[in-house]
Amino acid sequence: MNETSPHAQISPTPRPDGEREKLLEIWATPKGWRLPTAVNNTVIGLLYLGAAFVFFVLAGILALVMRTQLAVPDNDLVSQDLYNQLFTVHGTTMMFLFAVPAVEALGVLLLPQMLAARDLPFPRLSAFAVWAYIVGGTVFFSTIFYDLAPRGGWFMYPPMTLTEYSPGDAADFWLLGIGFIEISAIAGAIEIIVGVLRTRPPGMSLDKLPIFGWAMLIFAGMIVVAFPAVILATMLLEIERAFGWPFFSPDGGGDPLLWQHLFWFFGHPEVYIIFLPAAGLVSMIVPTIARAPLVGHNLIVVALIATGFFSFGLWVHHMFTTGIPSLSLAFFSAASMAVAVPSGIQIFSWIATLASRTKKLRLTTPALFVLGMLFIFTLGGLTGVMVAMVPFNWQAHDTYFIVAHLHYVLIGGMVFPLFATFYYWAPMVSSRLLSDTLGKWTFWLMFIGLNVAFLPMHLAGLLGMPRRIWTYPDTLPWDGYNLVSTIGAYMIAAGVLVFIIDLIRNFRIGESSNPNPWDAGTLEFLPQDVYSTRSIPKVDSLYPLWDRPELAEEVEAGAHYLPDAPTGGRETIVTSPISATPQYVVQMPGPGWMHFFAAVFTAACFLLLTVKVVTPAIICGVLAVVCCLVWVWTIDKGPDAGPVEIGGGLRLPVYVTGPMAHGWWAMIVLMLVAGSLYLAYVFSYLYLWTSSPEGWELGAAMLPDAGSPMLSAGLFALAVALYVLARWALPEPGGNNLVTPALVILGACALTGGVVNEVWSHWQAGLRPTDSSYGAMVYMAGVLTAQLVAVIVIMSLFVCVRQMAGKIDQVRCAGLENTSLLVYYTFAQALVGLLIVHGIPHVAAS
Amino acid sequence: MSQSDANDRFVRRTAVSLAPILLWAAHFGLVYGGAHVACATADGAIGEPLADMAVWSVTGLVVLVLVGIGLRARSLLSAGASSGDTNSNDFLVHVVHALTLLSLLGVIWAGAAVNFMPTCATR
Amino acid sequence: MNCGRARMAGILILAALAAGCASEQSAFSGEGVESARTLMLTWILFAGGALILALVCGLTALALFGGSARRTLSSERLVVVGGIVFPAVVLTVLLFYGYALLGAGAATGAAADSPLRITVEGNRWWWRVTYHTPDGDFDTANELRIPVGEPVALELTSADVIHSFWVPAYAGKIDMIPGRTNTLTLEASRPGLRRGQCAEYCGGPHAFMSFYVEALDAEAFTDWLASERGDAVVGDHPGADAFRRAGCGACHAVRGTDASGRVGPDLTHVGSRHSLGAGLLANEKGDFRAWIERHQELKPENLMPEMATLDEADIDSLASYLAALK
Repeated sequence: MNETSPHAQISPTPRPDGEREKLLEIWATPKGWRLPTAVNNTVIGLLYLGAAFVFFVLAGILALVMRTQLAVPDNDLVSQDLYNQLFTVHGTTMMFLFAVPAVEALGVLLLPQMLAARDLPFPRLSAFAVWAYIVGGTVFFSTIFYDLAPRGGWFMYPPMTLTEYSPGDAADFWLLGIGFIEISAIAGAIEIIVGVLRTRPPGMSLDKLPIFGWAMLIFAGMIVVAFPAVILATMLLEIERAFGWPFFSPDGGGDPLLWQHLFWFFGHPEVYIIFLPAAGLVSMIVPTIARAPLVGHNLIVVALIATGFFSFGLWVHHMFTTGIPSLSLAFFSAASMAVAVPSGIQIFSWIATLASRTKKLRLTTPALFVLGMLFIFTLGGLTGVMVAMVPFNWQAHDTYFIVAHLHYVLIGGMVFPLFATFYYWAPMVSSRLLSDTLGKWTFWLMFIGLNVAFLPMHLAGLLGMPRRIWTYPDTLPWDGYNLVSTIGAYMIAAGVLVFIIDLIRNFRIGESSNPNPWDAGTLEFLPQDVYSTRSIPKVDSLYPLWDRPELAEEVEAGAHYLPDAPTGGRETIVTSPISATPQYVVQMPGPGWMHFFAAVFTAACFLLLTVKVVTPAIICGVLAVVCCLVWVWTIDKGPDAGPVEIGGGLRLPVYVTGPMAHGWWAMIVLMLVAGSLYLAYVFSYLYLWTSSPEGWELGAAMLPDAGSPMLSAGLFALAVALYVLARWALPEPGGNNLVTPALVILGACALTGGVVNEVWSHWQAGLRPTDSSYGAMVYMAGVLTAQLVAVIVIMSLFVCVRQMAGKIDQVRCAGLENTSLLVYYTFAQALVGLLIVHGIPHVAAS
Repeated sequence: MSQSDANDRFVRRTAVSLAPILLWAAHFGLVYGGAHVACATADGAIGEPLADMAVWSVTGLVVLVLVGIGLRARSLLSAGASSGDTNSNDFLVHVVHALTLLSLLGVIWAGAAVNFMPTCATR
Repeated sequence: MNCGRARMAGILILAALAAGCASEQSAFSGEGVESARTLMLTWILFAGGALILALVCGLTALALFGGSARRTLSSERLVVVGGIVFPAVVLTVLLFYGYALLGAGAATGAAADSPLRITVEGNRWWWRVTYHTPDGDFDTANELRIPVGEPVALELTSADVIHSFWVPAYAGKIDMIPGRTNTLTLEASRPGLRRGQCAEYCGGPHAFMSFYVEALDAEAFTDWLASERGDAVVGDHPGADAFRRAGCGACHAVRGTDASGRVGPDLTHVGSRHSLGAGLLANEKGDFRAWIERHQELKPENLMPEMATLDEADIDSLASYLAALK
């Protein structure tokens, strides 16, 4: 041990006997048939990543079938109908079942290790998300084998996807598949935001957060804003398909372009949601290749933030040909240019870092994939600038030029970094490194294959070849380009095959004997076991392993924070969001069955609804809720241990509530999600108003009297007051009373009454949701508030039962506090809803 | 120690750090939303010079505020803060400056568009 | 190491151009006012893109293999200059050029005051074309003829799902959206026959939703317009009877006869068109036969019912009748 080091001996060494064994026992991974109960981030992350990779291979096989069909003109290898299913499932699977889950999996797998946290803050939540995704994704993908797959393209534009033009269940299966990824993406976003902001190691203030942490933080923030738009869009589409509320059909005053606005408000940021984490990975690997700090670290952080924001100003970029006025197109063109600048910053920062290298250049497999990415992504970025030029876009849009562009961006921007990651971070999960020889074969096959497959497509597109055509005549000069593309596609496939062989030969789950084979500088290359690091290091630089070579040894000896398990269970340190000052020790749940069953029943419920078997669907839904409640029953343990010593003389509490608690932060993120969803609704409402104002003028005459919204508003306000009182009326620890349950139940009733009164008053006035887009939007406001109220009712009942069981009191009140937060949010949303629904028609009529 | 200090005055410092790019978003929403509403509902009712003027004033205003934030970043970030955490503050000042620069580009590029074409014309 | 590919890309592009100019559905031909403007932009973008790609490759190579010279690249100055200043300058110029093009497009769109208006309505999976002339309106299908050198205002809409109207030789595409009417000003700068295709996926046989646009000299166009406006000119053709008995007139119109359906394409002058089945087949008698007998096989899922009630002789006379509708 280095005696002069300021951090040595935060915890006294040598550690007592049996301490490591106790950690091993507490964090042990369940084996055999109990594996589904596991919640360790490394296990769940690996499962997540594995499942995503399987979907990548499956969707890739679909691509090969399509490329084979297009290899020669007038081919009839696959039928027109099958081809339409193939490209729909290929696109949907790659975007929703591979790309987003894969980057999220990397977050689950790598983030806690980079932050030297023992696990993510809500381990069962990510496990739930993974299982729901695996079950739902498998069902969605398998529809291609039963001729049940959707045929609407991954973008599912109405009116083509309305029941009139897409009867049957196929389109609903698309909505189902999306539903699962929506759930798991939101769950993951909550997990990652709270994880990055609150479970960093002591001393890792924001300026010392590794770039991947930044990338994932922004990734999660983007999910919070972007996904609700597609959640709303899918809700509207499913409601129109099932009940005929005319949101998109022009006959009832709907507008097909509303779907495009909502879908691309999600869909364009989605590209960056996929790209940012991958860019973050590259920013982690490049310094290791160079063995030098990232040049312009702060500028990269800014580039990531700016990309996150600018990417929300690009959505109309997919709608340049819809006839929107030129000036509006120009605004989006400007934002499309603006987003190119941050990409430039990152590329030049990587080049500068490579130029500043301090050791001999070794072109290992990860290095090759990173360099390949640099070339491919730059080319894809340049064609991106081209399609941002509106007049060029009018020619290139919906042609093979775009197919080429998007594959360059997504394969270069995401798949290559992912493969670099596989090779670079393998020692974290595999006891053996992957083969560098096979890795180079994989790289060159994929790199050459990619260019052979997609470079000619730029030209095929400008020569007039539209996307999504299942065949083409031999009179057009496209055949040569297509044949070359098909050969390239098979080369990529060969590369992936070599990688799979490498996995089979060399991948063995376990701890590597050499945890840091690349001489990297960040914490995930500390010695690891199931409990992550033996002790949690104090961090004072961006590359702690470079700046303090003795750190690994110290951490492994248990000389840093939390070398033991003072509460006897799973736990990690929660720190403050900016300066990473230790705040408390959070106790985390271990393995369990309930999140697994909850996921399975959720999946079953959605599935049965899709095929319209309603009663069993409802039963599964109820069972899913019950499982969730059983799962959370044991989570709020309260202050069952006093403040505990974590080393360095720090004594921290093991239970906090209020704005410092990690659960409180998770609720805030959830409220942001709900807020984004409602904003998307408000946008839709205003958009449909501008697109068919007649409905709104007629609607003004059918509004209920002003007394009715006043009554609803009053009931919502009453509910807030009741929940505030309920918090105040909680008993002292150990005590019990019925006041709180009574107030909570009354509050839930007031909320329910407010929603029912609002909806009923419109019904009484004669308005029907199927009449017009106006009516549909009015009732939709009710639907959005009602779903929150339903959640509040369930949470309130749960709070009542816990109170009566003596598990909620003045100190141990996280359950009630979180419910109250949702009540306050619902109050605000409902009030905005009443203002819009009862105010705008008057404006429209005047 | 109050709750907000315990959480490093997170909300305020985040809001200040992101202010430049949030202003870009607000500007973008205003000019796009304004142009959409002007063309979708009041077709022609809003005169061309008036619409141009509106975009120009909004753009000018946002540029001024952006410059202001860029110049006063440090005092905005550290107002009332405990002095301990200088590393984070230096870092956040750096972030605000660079974000201001990028946001200025975005705002000026979007605002300049009105000079080149009529408000509601399509091709 | 990456830059060998860039040279290959250049060669490929040049090779394509030779082929491109000869193609009847190519954005490289630039035979319209708008497409010529865009083609110029395309070349600028290609050249600029190639230069920047070469620059990035060169700098990467220098950073990797540059010996001590690479040190000049290793500071944050490279990130600021290369990542912020350089793109800011280049993109400003490019963006304003794009704005100018947009402004020019909007100006011609506003100024187009042609006596001739054409409505094109996308249908699954064919195009209804309506000419509005001072002498009245008439329908045709899957084909437009326009006068050279004159801006023609197209009004584009859809009867069902979203389609997109694209004749790359003359102009970029614009979507046809139910409930909306989009306009596109088409101006061909020289005579020729060019192919167009639906560019927005519209389900089923989206791949078989093409059409032709023929740009004619003013004189030829006037002649064509006069004859196209007129009724069908086929007297007492034996196939007319088969046409009636098969019930074709319920969906198709042949002006001058009692066939007046509007569900399917107008057939008044179908025999004079350049293609059959929306760009799918040529337009000879044999093609009509093939279409009547096997249209569900040739263009799966198209909305025309199977013609099972017709016998061999009926099909033959029907095909020759349709081919004779010049």
